[in-house]
Amino acid sequence: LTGFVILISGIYLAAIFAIAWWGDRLPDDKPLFRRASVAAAVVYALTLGIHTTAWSFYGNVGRATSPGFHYLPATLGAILFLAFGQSVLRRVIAVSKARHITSVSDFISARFGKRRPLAAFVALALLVGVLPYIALQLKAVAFSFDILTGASAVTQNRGPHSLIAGATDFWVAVTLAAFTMLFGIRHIHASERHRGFVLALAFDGLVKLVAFVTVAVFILYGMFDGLENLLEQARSSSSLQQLLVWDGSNAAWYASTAAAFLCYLCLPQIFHVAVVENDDPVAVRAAAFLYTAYVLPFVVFMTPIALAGLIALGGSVHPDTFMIALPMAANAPVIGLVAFIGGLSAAAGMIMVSAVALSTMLCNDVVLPSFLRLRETQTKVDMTRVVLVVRRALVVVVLLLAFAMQRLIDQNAYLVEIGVMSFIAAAQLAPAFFGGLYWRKATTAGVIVGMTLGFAVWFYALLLPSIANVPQNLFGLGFSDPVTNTAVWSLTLNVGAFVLLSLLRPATRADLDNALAFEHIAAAAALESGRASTVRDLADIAAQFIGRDHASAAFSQYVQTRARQSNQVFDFESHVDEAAIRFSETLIAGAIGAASARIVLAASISKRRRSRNSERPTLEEASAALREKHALLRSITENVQQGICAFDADMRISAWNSRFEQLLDLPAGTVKVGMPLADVIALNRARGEYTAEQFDRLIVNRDLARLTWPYVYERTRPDGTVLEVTFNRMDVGGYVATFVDVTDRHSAAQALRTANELLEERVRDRTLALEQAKIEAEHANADKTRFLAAASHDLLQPLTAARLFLSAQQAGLREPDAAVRGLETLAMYADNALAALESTEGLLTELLYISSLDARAITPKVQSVDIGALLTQLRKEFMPFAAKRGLQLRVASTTLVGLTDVGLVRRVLQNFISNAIRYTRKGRVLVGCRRCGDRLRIEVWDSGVGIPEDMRDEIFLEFRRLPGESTDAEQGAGLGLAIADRIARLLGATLTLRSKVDHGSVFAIEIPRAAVRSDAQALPAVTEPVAADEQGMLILCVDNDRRIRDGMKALLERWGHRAVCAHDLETTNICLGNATPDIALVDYHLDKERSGLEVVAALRPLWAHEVPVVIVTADRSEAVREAAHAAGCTLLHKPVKPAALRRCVNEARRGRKIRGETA
Amino acid sequence: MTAGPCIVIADDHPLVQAALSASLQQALPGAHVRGASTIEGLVDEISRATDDIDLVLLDLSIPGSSGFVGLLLLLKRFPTLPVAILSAKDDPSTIRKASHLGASGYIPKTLSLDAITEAVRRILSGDVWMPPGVADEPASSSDRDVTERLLALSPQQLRILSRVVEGKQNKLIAYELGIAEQTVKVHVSTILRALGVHRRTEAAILVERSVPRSLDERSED
Repeated sequence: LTGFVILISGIYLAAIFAIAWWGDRLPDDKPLFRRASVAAAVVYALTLGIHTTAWSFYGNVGRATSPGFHYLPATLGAILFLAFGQSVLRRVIAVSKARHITSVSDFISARFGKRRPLAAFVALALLVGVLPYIALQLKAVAFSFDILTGASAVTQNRGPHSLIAGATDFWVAVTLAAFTMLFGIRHIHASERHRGFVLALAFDGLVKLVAFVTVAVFILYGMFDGLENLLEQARSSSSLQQLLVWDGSNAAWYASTAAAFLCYLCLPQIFHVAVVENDDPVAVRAAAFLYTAYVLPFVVFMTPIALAGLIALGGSVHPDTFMIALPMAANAPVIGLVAFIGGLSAAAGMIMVSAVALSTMLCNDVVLPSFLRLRETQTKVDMTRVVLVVRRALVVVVLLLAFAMQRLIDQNAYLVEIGVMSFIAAAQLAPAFFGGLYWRKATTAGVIVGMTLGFAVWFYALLLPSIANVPQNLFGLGFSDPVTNTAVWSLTLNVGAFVLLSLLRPATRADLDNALAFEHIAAAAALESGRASTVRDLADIAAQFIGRDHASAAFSQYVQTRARQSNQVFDFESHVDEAAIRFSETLIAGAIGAASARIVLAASISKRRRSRNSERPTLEEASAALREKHALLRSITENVQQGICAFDADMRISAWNSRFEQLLDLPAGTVKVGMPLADVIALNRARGEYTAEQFDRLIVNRDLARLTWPYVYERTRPDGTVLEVTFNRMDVGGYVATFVDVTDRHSAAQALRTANELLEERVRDRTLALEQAKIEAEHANADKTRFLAAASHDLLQPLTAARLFLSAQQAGLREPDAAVRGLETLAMYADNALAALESTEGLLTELLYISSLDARAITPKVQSVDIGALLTQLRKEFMPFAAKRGLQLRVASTTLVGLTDVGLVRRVLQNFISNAIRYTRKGRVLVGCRRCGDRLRIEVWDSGVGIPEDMRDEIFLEFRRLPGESTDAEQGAGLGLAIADRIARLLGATLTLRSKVDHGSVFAIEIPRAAVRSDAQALPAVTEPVAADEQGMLILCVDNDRRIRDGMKALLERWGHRAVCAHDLETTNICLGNATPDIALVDYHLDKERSGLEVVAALRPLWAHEVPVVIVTADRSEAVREAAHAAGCTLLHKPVKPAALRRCVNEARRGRKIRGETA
Repeated sequence: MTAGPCIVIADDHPLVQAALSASLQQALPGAHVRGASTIEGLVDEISRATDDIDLVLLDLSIPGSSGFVGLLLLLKRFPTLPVAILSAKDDPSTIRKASHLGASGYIPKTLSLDAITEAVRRILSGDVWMPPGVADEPASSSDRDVTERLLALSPQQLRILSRVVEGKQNKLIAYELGIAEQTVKVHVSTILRALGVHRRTEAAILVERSVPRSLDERSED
């Protein structure tokens, strides 16, 4: 039978090996199962089943035979942890994956400073803590083997064995060590994940379950008549009934459960399957349920089996062996074998995983560091081989130690109690483990001291008594049983020291960094496990803060970059990872700050995950408030006139408003969060936005450390707009740039500058003009002075002469014998004086004329001028003068008509002719006119002295005369040509002079010619003063004196009027008829004593209009004057003077004219 | 009519007065020549005369007269009194204006003594004497316009206008004429309205312009 059992065991182990081998052959790059698939969850749950060790087959049954359900705590702890600690588990998985953590010691040391001593301490502590557990498994297998094969009496297997030989437990240990080495540590993998191993474990777990259920069903239904029957039998016995009663007052039970709960994940084998070998964190949730279902049979059937054992076998058999003993007792060795296989598989699974985990831990944290330190110099070692060898060796060591431990600890102790011992040991790691995961302030020092204390208590209070059988009351305090005592005290001290030390001393930088890293990883994991698990979800969150467009643009770019870099599919549907979260955080931080961004992300994650959590409304409110604030800020920045752009400390754009894009003319969508300023500048450079000087002023080309803040500069864009750019540092780090369009200000300044320049120019021009004017004025003043000097001289000369002549005459007249001198001489003196004065008067007249010309007091009156008539007139005028000089004056007849002011031209010609006559001794003077295009030229020729070349300009100046001709009394004033020159300028006419000395000169004036002759002005004859009035009037004369009537009539008719004379009213009516006279001259004293006023009064009604009446009278009395005035008549005294009469008539004519005009 | 004509020479220059007076008395036997040096003096002289004044020879630039104001004043005041202008000015525009206003003649001082006495004689015999070449030319419309406006003024208004042109204030004018200032004020506004101007300065310019000033007058001022 022994051989058969060994064979079956061998076949079973070979099967497991085959599965592991097959599993390892599967392709490596794909996960074993689809994510979140049922298969993955099932496999995961089955591997977790290693927690259901051999003790479930043996120890628990034994424990169930005593009241208090003491078999429960271990399983219950696991169930509770999986039920409530899923988030912890997920978090641990995430951190471990991210940090490549492969063991509990790794995990704790990764959190607390990566210290080797700590890791080593944890590894060794776990070794010590778990060894009893492994020992327990060895014991169980050996024990069951012995029972099955009957190698020793069922009841006798308690005595001391020979140390090795024949000891089943030793061979079990050796076999399992070999087996573990073979397939647990076949190769080294960075992740320490072994697919085949996992599959084998899952198979193992399945076998375990099937075996247990098979045995349980056989016992319940094969040996008894079902559960009801069994329970009825149990109730009949009071001792058995106790087993079914729950006793809630058992402190050890609670302590055990708590320890099992706490230590669950800290157990190396559990950590290995639950964390290291975990392929799919999503499976955790489902696996928790599946696991509960899995362990249910082990829990439910335990007490019935115990009851069955007690009923069927009584106290003859050790309760731990009921599982095998019962079938054997029922003569069903096959079922016994099944139970054995189940126990074997349970033990093997646990031992293998524990051994692998422990060896890995010890190898990495204890052996290898020491080994490396020793072999420091020799680097050329194939570490893989070394590690492999070390690990295999360690497996052997661990199992041998376990074997030794098995021999050491109390043989009588229940298996479960040994398990609880391990649990409490492993639970010492829990404060460090969970504290490190969740408490940022946890420090390494606290962890080390706390764990040391905890282990010390455990060792002293629990392990020592087990080995040395020394009862320990643990300081004489606390609870009655050692388990509770140890658990409470060790954990209290542990946690107390940990917390106290952590609080007392501030966390080191490294601790903090690790804590934050853990949090980050955890956040990522949380996202990953929750529903907000795709990049799109992150983009949606970000969109709430930085706007939909910006967010999607930024994420599009991010996704592309990621896909390019990782060479993997990465899109909006991809699952988020730590990097993606960090990116989102940066993105949102640009809008609301780093701290807020972290909170928002956490809140968003929490919102999804804890949908039924009470925190949700608060968080939503908070994030809504944040969003509202953000929207407000955004709309504020959007509404300012300045373009605003914020940069982080690395000069990457973190926020901006649309005015910024608008001012810089950046195409929409160009600017993105996280875009470096350098990119914007490169874009602008490519568009030719900067001149070299402007480029130099850009902030990126400045030494930031040396700048004075705010840094302000102006930049003219190619389209002419001027931007004022202000860079300033922000308190929160980074920079903010504002852009203001100052084009208007600039153009205004430019206009001002231009205006100023223009003004200066004008001032300059005016100054120049003024200086010019001043010079001219000074010149004119000098001219005037010269002119006055010359004029005074020329005036004084004749005046002096006149005074001398008059003095001589006066002297002559006063002489007593005036007659002696002769009257003739005196008369000659008077003539000479008169001539001198006349010349003075003439000169003054000329001067006045010149001044009138200079003062522009004379306005030319341009009209058609009959040149022929003008010349004839001039000939008449100068003929006597020429004749007197013995000269011939000839005028060529012409029919030309000029267009000019006749008076002024005549004046010029008069001067020309008089000069010609004056400076010609013999010969003739000729005046003629010739046509010259549309002008005509009147020339005055003489055969005189001629004018030397150098005098030709000078003679046109005032008081310049040709020398040598001054003897003549007819000397000119010396102003003739000066006047001619001025008149020519006034008329716009041209004066020309041709001359040849001793042959004569030609003076000419050129004037415009009139086109037609018809309207040529006939020159009035210079004859009698014109006396005639233009129109004759009808004048009524009433006088009784015929002589007066005739005289008046004659006078009036000479003035061109018609006179109607009458001597009284009747004759007046007859003479006048119906006519109305223009004026009535009425004598006051008429015949028949009638007054002129009466006649007027009688006549007036007959006249067509009012007629001015002049009453003529010799009566100078006041009465007549008043009477005349009263009648509205003018009074004229006799004798009537012609001048007065004329005046009256003229007044009347003017009145008639006015009347005619107004009528 | 055995007595010679009675002539008043209104000229502020005593020498001219004396010389002309002597010449006229020589040329017109029995002539009675008197003198006045201001408009007011002249008016007094004429008013006081017991016998008829046959002719007034008026210098245009006599004190109390600006432009033609003095002439107008006389013509208005004495409707039957012949007034001739005796002036150094001989520009046709002035001559025509004077004629238009009703002067019986215009005698430039530049004429020889013989010509002057001849002109006076002719005027006394009832002719209207003007220098050659200007008498028959009609006055320009603007000349006529100004003179018509001046003609519309009463003698008192002319007196006030003449003082306004001299730049005197209402108060002073009132004092000189022995009337109330308020009256002057009313007159002045009437005058301005009649002349079609808005300010006293404009009135002064209008009147001054009516007779172009020349250098000789300025020196006399």
